[in-house]
Amino acid sequence: MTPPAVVRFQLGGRPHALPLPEVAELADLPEPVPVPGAPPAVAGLSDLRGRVVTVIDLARLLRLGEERRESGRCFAILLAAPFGHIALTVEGDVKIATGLDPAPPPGIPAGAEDRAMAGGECVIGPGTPEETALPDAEIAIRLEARRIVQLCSREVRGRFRIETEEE
Amino acid sequence: MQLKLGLSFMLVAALVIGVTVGAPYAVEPPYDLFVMIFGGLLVALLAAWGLSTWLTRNIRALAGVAAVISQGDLTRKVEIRGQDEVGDLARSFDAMLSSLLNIVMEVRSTSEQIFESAQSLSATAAEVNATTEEIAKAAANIARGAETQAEMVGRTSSITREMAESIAEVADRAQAVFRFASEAGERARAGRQSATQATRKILEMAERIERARTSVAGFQARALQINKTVDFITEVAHQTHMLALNAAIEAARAGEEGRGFGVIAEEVRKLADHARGFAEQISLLAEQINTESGTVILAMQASEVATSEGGQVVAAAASALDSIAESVLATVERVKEISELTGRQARGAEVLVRSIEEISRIAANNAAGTQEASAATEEQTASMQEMSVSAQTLARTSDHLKELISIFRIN
Repeated sequence: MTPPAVVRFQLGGRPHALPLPEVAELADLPEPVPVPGAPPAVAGLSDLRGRVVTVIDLARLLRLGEERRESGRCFAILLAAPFGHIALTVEGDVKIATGLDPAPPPGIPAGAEDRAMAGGECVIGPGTPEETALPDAEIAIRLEARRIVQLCSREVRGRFRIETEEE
Repeated sequence: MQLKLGLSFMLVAALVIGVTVGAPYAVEPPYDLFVMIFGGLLVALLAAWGLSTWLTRNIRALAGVAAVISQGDLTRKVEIRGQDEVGDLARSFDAMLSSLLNIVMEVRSTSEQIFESAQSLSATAAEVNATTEEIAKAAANIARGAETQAEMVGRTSSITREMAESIAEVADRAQAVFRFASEAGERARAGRQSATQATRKILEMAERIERARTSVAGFQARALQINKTVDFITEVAHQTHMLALNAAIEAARAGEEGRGFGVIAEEVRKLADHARGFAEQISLLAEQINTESGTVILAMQASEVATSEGGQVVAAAASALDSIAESVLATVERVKEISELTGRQARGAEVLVRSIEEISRIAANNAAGTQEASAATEEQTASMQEMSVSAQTLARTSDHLKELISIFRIN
């Protein structure tokens, strides 16, 4: 059986990974157009070959700081269906890695637990199988598209709910 | 003679007269003759006595006058008008007396004049003596002065000789300065030519720098074009990288069937990465080239400015050298004139030295002559003293002569 493949990328100075089936493609998106009232994690809307996609600043969403990108260029991972209208901005050094070991390696670097607590929601829990080892012995944090979308949806909903309450 | 004839005639006449007169008185012949003779003799004697008395009266008068004259009275006149010898004698005596009177008067007058002259001479001699003494003192002073003058002239001669030597040395140095100034003028001209050449070279260098700067600017533009091309290559490599990644994703999604495609996609991705890396290196190099070209351009612009300023400075130096050359040439002319003047001065100084040496010799001779003159003046003083004594003696003598002559009464 072929080990599950992941798309490995850098985020917040550390390698992260998304399962390959959750990734539709990698794309250079035009500069996203900001959406008024959207939470900071939502970078805006962009055009991908005539299709409007929502660009999410993944580093900001995961409280890893603002994603550093060059002006006029937005390197993003377009999620596969059913989230095909969402693109995640990531830092460079994207690779396709296969043969992942689902068992967590010993000695997880400190701080992963803190980063995993985003907005009071446990997106990637410590000591869980979300942390995996890449074939070149590199430790990466495995993400899931579904959880990312949920987190983003909560952000958006929380944002609009607060404004509604204020109104 | 006449007197002798007169006397003889008187004797004969007296005899004849006696005989004639006595003859009527004769008695007897012998006695008569005797009487006649005796009477004749007596008459003759009486006649002779009377005649002699008559004849000698003028002589006696003349003797009386002579006696008066012997007493010094020359005022008497002989009053004899006879035509005989006595008259002649009296006239001669009178003439002699007149001549003697004139002589005495002349001697008296001359003696008075001599006395006065002697006194005057004595006074003059005294004055001359005093003057001569003063002259002697003055001559002594002049002699000392002449010695001092000779000494001073000797010093002056020495100083003048030193001055002449100095002038000759100045002339030599002026000649040397003339040569140096001429050499400086030639060097200034050569420097001006060198500066002019340097100005041309600097201008050529400025033009070359400008051309090089233009070339470097073109090179910089080429580097920018390279950068743009490299950007394009980088973009292509990035897109290729993206395509390779997407191809790898598709290959992975295809499972076992896509393995070979995945390998190829991975190789393409690596190539794209390499291309991007090389492009980045080229971009970096182009950027460095661009930056360094900018630096070189700035340096060349600074060099152009510096070269321009250097050219201006060298041109100013050339102009200054030109002015220096003109000044040096003018200086050369002046120095030449100075050299000629100093040469003339040196020759004049030699003449001056010779003249002063001649003056020195003359001064020495003058000193010696003045000493001799002083000695002669002293001798003259002695002579004048002697002359004064002689004049006094002459005055006394003339006075004595006048006393002697004063026995003659001439008025």
